[in-house]
Amino acid sequence: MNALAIAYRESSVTDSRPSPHQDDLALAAAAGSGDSAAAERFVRRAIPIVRRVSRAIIADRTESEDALQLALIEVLSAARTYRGTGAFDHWVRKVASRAVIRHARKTRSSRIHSIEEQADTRHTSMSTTMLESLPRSLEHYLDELPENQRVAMLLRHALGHTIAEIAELTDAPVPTVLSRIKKARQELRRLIQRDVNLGVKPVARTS
Amino acid sequence: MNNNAADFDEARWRRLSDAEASEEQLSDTDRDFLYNFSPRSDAAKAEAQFFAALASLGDSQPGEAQPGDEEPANSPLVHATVQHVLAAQRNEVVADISPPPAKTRRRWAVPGLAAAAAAVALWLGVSTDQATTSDGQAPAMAVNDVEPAAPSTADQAPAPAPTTTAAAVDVAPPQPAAPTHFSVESGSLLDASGATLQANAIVSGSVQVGEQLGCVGFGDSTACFESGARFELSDDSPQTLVVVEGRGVIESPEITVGVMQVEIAGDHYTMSSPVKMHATVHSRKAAKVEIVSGQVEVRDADGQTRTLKAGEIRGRDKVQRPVVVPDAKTLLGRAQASSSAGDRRAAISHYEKLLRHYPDLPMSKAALVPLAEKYLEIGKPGPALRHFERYIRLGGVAAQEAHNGRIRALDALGRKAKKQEAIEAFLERYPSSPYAAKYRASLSK
Repeated sequence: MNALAIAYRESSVTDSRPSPHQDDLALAAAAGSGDSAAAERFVRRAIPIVRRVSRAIIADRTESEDALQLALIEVLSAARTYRGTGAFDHWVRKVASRAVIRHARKTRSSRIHSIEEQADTRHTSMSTTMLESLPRSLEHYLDELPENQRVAMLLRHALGHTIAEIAELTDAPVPTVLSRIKKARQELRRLIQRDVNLGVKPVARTS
Repeated sequence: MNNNAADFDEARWRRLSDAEASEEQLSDTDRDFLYNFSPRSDAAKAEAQFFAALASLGDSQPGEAQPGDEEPANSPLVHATVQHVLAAQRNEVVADISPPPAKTRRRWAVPGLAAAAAAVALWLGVSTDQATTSDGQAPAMAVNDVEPAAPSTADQAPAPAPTTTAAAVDVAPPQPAAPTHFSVESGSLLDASGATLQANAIVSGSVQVGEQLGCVGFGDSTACFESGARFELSDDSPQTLVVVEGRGVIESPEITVGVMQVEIAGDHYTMSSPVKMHATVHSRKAAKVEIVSGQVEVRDADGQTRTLKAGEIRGRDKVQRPVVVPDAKTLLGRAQASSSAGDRRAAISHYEKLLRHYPDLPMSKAALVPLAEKYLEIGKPGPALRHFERYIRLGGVAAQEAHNGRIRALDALGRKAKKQEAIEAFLERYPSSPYAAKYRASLSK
């Protein structure tokens, strides 16, 4: 399977853990009941997942670290609500996504809000992802989308949430989420095709 | 493979990838095709690379520590998180999970949480006759163990003997500090003299939202209003935000530290519980407030109090008189005439109307560059930059002018690094431009 295939598969992962999650359930229950050692193990387990969520949603590294800290508190605070019916990683990702989106909307410092929108109010160094075949940066194309489409794309393709989860996380009906994703993909395709046809060459540098 | 077959395959690949994104069921054959497809055209390669990069967004970068390697570096964060949450659980302390103002947020979490945990530990240490942990043990930290400046790991230490002292008895349980003033949360806010207020600045008196959205914060509560909105902020207790006019959202989170009072059209709203409400304020007497979620206590001018719940609306929209908008050519003509007459602000107003009412017309796109120039001329590089960048994104015959204008706007904003980057990009894109010599000279300085 090539890298592209892996990326596609990862982007649609929902719950691939076959185990019944008994160990995770016990850990979450202990952490939620105030066992500090269990809570520490729980947080260590959650950090890589929460960090990926915060980095995917918030481009600015410093802001994403802030969001990581706040999301970890929310995840640990919610530990007792984990029922073990789904994978632990998946549950953490969902709780963290909700926390990071809320933080990002409040601070208006994320990929959720366009980089252009921030440019006038903040002096942060936004990372740009330049790719060999892509005429402009990844962030540039995301920035071209309306906010609700951008959020749906990040949740779906960067974090692998299901359509139903995105609907829940964004307070939108499922058909609306489907429509946003469809329109976003069409628009991205159009923009990329346009730039390729125009022979646009990457000019920005990774920062 | 001939071109037709390649085109057919790419079309199929796009259709299947769209279907997978929408969670449509794929056959095994389609799935195999999708996962093993190698795009041939430049556009398809770019598209595939885009989605592959999107799927790995947030992953560790090459050269960066992998999750397994980060364990020691994570320790302060782990300890601080655990201490904070457990302290909140044990003592029912109102855990403020919202970030403090950005000014202090950078270094907040680890030492801040540790200090909070240490304060809780201090309280526990002097109150052992009343407090026990969930497993029935004596509290695990003694006064002497407290290290306010560093994360504490004393939870795992043997339970010490109670160390009550006369001085320590007076130590109060930790409480999050209630806010005492309003501050600039984000966006563009102007004071009574029209000067721009810096982010996180303490603010009181008359405030107006500038050209963009502007947010005022009070503790964890925020009021974000659109351009042109006006507030009056009173620091006298209870601290009150009076919305004079404008449209926006007022929100109080789940866990609220400090109660913000909001006055809209003579009604007083007490933001003491989770609530989100939309407000459209026409004047000091007329407004429409819609509760989106949660609930809020509202007291009217007669002193009558009631609770507004999610979905409820108070007041109503002002009856809008029909506005006759001139056609696009007329607006453009007026803008150009004002510009020729030297009335830059009138020109901006006409250009903005053109963009607002006819955003999709080619002439609206063409108006972006002269509009941005006018903003630069009146000393407003922020909106100028925004319009130049919008034109650059859309593309057009004036792209070189737009790039040139963008550099000048960045210069006016004092964003040197971005300006340098923009000049380099400009020279790469337009090496023989009339502006190139000037920019090369500026780079060589």
